[in-house]
Amino acid sequence: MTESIGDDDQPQCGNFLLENLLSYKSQLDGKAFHANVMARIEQRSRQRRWVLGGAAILAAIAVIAVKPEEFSFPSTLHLPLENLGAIAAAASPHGSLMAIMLACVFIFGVTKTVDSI
Amino acid sequence: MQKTDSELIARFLTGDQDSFDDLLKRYQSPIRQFLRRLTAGDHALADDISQETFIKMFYNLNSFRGDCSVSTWLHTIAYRNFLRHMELVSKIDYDDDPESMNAIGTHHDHTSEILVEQLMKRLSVNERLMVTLSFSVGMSHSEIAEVTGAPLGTIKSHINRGKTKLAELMDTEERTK
Repeated sequence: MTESIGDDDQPQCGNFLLENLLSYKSQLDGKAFHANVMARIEQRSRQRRWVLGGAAILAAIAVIAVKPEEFSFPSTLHLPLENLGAIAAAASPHGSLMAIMLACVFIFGVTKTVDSI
Repeated sequence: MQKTDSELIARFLTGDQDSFDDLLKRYQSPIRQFLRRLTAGDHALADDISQETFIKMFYNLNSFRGDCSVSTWLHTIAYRNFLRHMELVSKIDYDDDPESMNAIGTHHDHTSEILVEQLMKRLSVNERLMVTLSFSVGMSHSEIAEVTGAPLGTIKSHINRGKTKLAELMDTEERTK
């Protein structure tokens, strides 16, 4: 009963007793388990919606709170982002503000989603 | 005709939630029983980790590449969840105290499942894992290597040690009857 296992990739036939002892004897009833899993998935999805919605609101509040009178930050960049800065400068200040706000929400949302996975 | 796992996954990814239900029904029992063996009979804990496993499956099915079977993939998630749980909470009794031998001998309700769970307490976590994947799930050594990330030599030695221990425990059990 205690013969050593061979070098092949499969368990050997001589392990019948052990296989018999250790085999799963029955199929577990899954109704309650199934309901619990689906309920937890639903709960987690709801939490995600609240987190992302809350993040969007917080980002909006934060951006509005720190908004300078003249919102010209992107047009003052002198890095490889010059072209982007020119595009942003061409847009209205409110447009730039919205773009940055959306970027904040997007980054936060992606980070949170990745973290939850 | 029963749909294959690949068909169910493909349908789920197009928005058919019923396909996930089918996958859940198909794999809930083996995954729960696998974790019951790993936790040496802590059914509540095993079910909790199993639920977490299927929730992860739900959110990660779109990243399932299909380079292993769904069963192997799920066992891998379950095992990692189990390890994470062990790191967070040292709730399970992994004691190698010889006194626990008596727990096997004096247990009056000897259904084979209870006996197996009692026997599992006498194995190390790795022995439990490898023996269960090999003899209960029926995985090959290379599949076990995929689930655990352990080298083949280590897997073989854990299985061998687990088998030897189980054989000795069964002998003791027979003698005490």
